[in-house]
Amino acid sequence: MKTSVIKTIIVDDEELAWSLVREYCSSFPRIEIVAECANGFDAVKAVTELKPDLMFLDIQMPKLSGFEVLELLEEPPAVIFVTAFDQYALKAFDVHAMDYLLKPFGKERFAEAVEHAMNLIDRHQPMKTKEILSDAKPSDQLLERILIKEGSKVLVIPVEKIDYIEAQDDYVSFHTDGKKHLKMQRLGDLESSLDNRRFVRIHRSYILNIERLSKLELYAKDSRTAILKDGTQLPVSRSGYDKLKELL
Amino acid sequence: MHPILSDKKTLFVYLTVWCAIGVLLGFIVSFFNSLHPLYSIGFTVPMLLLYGEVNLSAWYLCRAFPLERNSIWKILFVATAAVIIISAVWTLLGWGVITIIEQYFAVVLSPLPVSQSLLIVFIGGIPLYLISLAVAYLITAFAQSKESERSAYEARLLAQQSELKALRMQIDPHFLFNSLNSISALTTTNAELARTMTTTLADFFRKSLYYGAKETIALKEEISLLNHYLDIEKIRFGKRLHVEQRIDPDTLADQVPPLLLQPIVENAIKHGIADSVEGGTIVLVAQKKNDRLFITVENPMEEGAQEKKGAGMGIEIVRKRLQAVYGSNGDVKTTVANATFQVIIFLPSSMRK
Repeated sequence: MKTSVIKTIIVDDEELAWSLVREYCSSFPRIEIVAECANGFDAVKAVTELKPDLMFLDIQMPKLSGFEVLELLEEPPAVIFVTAFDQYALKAFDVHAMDYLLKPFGKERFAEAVEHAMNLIDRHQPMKTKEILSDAKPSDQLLERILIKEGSKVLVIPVEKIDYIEAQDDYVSFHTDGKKHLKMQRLGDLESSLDNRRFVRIHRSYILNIERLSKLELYAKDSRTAILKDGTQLPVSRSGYDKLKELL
Repeated sequence: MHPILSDKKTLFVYLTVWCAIGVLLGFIVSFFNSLHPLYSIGFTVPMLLLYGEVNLSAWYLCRAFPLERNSIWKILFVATAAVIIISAVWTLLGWGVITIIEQYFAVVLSPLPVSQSLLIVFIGGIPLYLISLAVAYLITAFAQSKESERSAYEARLLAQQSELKALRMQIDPHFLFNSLNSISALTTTNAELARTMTTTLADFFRKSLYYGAKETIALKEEISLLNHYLDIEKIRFGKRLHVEQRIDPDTLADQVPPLLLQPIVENAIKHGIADSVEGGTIVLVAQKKNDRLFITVENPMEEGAQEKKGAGMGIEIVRKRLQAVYGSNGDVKTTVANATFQVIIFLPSSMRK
């Protein structure tokens, strides 16, 4: 039985809520609280810099929700979600046997969740973060903004600011105002969660914001080039052209 | 009550119609028998006026044998029997009346030999009574469809009212659970505050149940309810929530639908405070202008934040409620300026008599 210290951070926008978690934690000698964060940005920063083992994560927070925090972390710690009420999230947790705390919670329930988490940490068992994330949101909800982590900072890009998205191996790069931002994601996954009246998969490797399109040029049989308002040229496949024709 | 006898005007129109039919038949009889029209009209008009009275019985027949509860054969049999009896009764009655008039005034009314006149009267009475019967059934059906339309409308109105009742009781479940969590946290650190918060929460729910059952309440009462709510949220959000109130004392007695402002203030806290790291100030203003009550709720808006779907729905509920009570005299508007989201409610100023 290992008795190493479990570095823990508490993320909750309400001071009273995190003071309660801190109080409950005091009866677990292995738990050492390394940070308390009042919002998602601070949480991403703290996790990146302090690499904790365990995180108490509130779902409803300003700027970044608990799920968005988790989405941004490449190597998330073990997480105990804390929430007051969230029908979608609870369903996702139940499906993936994920432990969570419902506000208000008692000491016994808290101890149960912490012991469960400690068990996972000691056995180095990773969480099924991806599956939980994809199930915790209503499937018909469209993306309104893209979150990108650069170093320990978080960048928020509203989708309407995107010019086009390019696939690059395991990454996608978002092009906005001549700048590009990399994120580990698959272009196909992204395509299905963007508004398809605005974002068109014009090519195997490109999704275009059609508001940026200036004109289409035919340069060989079945092969066209999209010219954007800033002069950028992107290849358009046959099926991409069909989709564009339908929209324009 | 008989639909024609119950109203003098209708009865007059009804008898006029029979009179007109009498005049028309008089002309037809005079034409076929080459008589002077006046000669035959003198006979047909009193006869038809008499038949008009007799035909009022069609209504009772239609009431006694309603279409939906009798087979078509039964109704046809009854109608046939009725037509023969009624027309015969009319013929005999007519003969009697005409004879009396002729003898009393020493005039000749019957344009043709009596037996011939009576046969024509009897045969003519049959289609006329059938028409009366058909009209009676038509009027009944029409009245029934109007009645069912009215009850459908009433049902809709009732559904709308109960929907409004359900709408006003919508309190965010997050509010309850988060408040309980705050109390739970306070019990060890600040037991006194935990107790205050418990009683404030109880007061808030008690008042919202009590006021929620009323049609309207005084603005003063609505604001006292809001203050309970805000007191709880102030404990929860701490330094992040500030509240500024500018309530004109003139407005305190004005009547408003209960819990009208609560969802708006709830939205203001959700989007202006809970979604913001630094928090901000919720501003509540009430004033009166030209017999109209204006209530404004303001919250700071995060840069780049769009109007959230939840806010839109809350506003829609408030609009529906205002229109249900005040029609076009009450409405709600939203504006965005200088990083502030503003909701303006206006309604007619009215005090309890």
